[in-house]
Amino acid sequence: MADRKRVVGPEKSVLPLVESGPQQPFNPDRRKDGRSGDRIRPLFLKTGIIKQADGSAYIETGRLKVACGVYGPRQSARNKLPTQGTLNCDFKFSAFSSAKRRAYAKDNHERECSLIVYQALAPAVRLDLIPKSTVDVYIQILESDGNAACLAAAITCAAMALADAGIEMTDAVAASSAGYIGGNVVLDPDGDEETLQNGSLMVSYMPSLNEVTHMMQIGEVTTNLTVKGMEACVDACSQIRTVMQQALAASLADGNS
Amino acid sequence: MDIDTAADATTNGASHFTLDADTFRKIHPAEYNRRFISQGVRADGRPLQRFRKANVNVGSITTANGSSMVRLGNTTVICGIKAEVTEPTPEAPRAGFLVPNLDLPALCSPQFRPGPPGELAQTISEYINQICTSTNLLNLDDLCIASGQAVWVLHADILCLNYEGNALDAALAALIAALWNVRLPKSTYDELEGTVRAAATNTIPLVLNRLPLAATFGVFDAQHLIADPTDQEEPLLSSQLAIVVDQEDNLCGILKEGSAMDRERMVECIGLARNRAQALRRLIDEALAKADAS
Amino acid sequence: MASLIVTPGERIAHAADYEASSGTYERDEYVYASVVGEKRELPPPAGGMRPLIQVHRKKETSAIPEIHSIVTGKVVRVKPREATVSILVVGNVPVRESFQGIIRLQDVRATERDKVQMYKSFRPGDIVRLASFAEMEIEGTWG
Repeated sequence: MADRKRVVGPEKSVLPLVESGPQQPFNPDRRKDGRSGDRIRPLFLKTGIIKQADGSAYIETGRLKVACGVYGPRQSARNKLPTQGTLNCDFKFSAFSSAKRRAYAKDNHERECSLIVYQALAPAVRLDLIPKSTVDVYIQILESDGNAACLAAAITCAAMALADAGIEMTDAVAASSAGYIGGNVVLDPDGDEETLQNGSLMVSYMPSLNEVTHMMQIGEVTTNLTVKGMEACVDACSQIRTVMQQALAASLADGNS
Repeated sequence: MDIDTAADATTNGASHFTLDADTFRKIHPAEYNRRFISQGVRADGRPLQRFRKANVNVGSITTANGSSMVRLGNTTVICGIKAEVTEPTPEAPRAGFLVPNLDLPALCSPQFRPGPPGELAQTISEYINQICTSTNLLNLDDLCIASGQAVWVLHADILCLNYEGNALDAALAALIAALWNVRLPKSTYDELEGTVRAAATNTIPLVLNRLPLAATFGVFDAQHLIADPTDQEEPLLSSQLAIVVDQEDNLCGILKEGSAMDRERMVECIGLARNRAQALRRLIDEALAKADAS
Repeated sequence: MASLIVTPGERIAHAADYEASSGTYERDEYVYASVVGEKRELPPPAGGMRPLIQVHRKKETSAIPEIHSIVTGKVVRVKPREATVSILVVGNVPVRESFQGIIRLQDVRATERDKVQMYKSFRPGDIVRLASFAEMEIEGTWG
């Protein structure tokens, strides 16, 4: 179907075949960026990047870049539950954010991610305090590097933006991911490492209440390894939480000056 | 209806209505801006014909062949260009494609809703596309990999992150900066397999024939000319004028909408647009030099 | 100063010592922050035993019309039995995005309600100041 509302190019285009050099063997103690298996990539967080939004945040970790804007509480278009507010999450890849160009129309993967972000955040947001209102969370992936890591960053970024918007939450949700590569748990795998893994895990966690809000495991692994992976992810979430706290406190200090 | 009498009329009873600046702006945006503009200054403190501070960055998106981020005040746009392989048309077997699109998502301002692009995004995308074609921005034949078999298509997707008005100036500047930042891989067409093989590194820059950049003006109350309108000012303008000039001060396009505008004013705008385009071009140059150095 | 800044989920006091006030909540014998802001103690309310603890937001969220708030808005539509108002200001705080309210015929005036004519009372574009008295229903005090 032709898109009349955009400038359209050729109907079909493909990526060229890229000649890749020899692959370095994977070493869980010394990965290609020098990390060991139990380390996440350094994290940069900033709030208030979208001035038009009620709250916003930006996260950059490795090549991964995510922006999130929160609008609300605003009048609901439709009142589903009059006693409770509605949380609406929208997860979108930018056209240029991945190896293959993304279409503008939302695909199934984006729909699934939107739902996961909602499931991860909804337990923390105190929707009972904002009856008849809607909070819209718009997540835009600017550059993706690893599916699970991207989703985790989106959740962390959205939680930051919600806090920046002053939406009441029981806790600031942090999320992290891990891959299972040859019997090892590898935290925060990037896109290349994801091609090697035989399973992955993503955990959304409320660090100060010590509760998991969402957990997703893909692939076949032993129970022991899953437990190990979960512990690693929960630890990573607590680390991420420290960075979130610092960034949120910094945003207040900026506001004062 | 006069707002001051409204304030007086409501002071009876329990509630006292104080009309502070923010409330006044919300209730009577036109009058609020009029009081500033009639004094020769704008609500954000700028003189009438001053453009917002611009800021350009290139090459931060590594999944794109070329990318840029342009900020005009608080209007922020990101342009990412992805090169993919496609078949040329039979009429032009060597010509590649350049497909520019502006996206104004619900993320960037409360005035936009999720869903297909609205009128503003459609208008700007279409106008930018026209500028690309009419100014012969790129030699599309440069995008040829194998005549009649395979050519590059450059998807130029311009995303607005923060909308504070005047998306056209920002979007066109971002497109030009990103195109300049594009590096294509060396590539060969394999006749037997019908596939294109590309090198792992992107090395070949594009040749840009022109560097068209836009400067937008608005007319307030049919008499005051203001440069680079914000989203607060845009709905109040009686007419808008966008002027596109290239690096040799050639006019590449004028887009005008709204009520009539006299000739002298148009000429005045063209002069101002030349200065603005020059300043933007310098910023893009600096950003590209900085990216090359690192 | 820096130690007074708290973020959502931070445990800020024992529930036995303090009563949770705005920007906080109580859970399992502790009081936690639910917004980013500055921690403050207030004297106990009349009849209360424990001092209040609250987290004061530096950045205000958008104002929301509540029951009994005084709002200012613009009339957008007038029908025989009601007028639709786009609410722009709640109290003295402008909203970021307008809310919609309705002025019903029977609420325009306190007396002689049967003589009110909507078209003679309101025109689209009028700025009105109203008291909201029920959820999403609004009483006109001046038109």
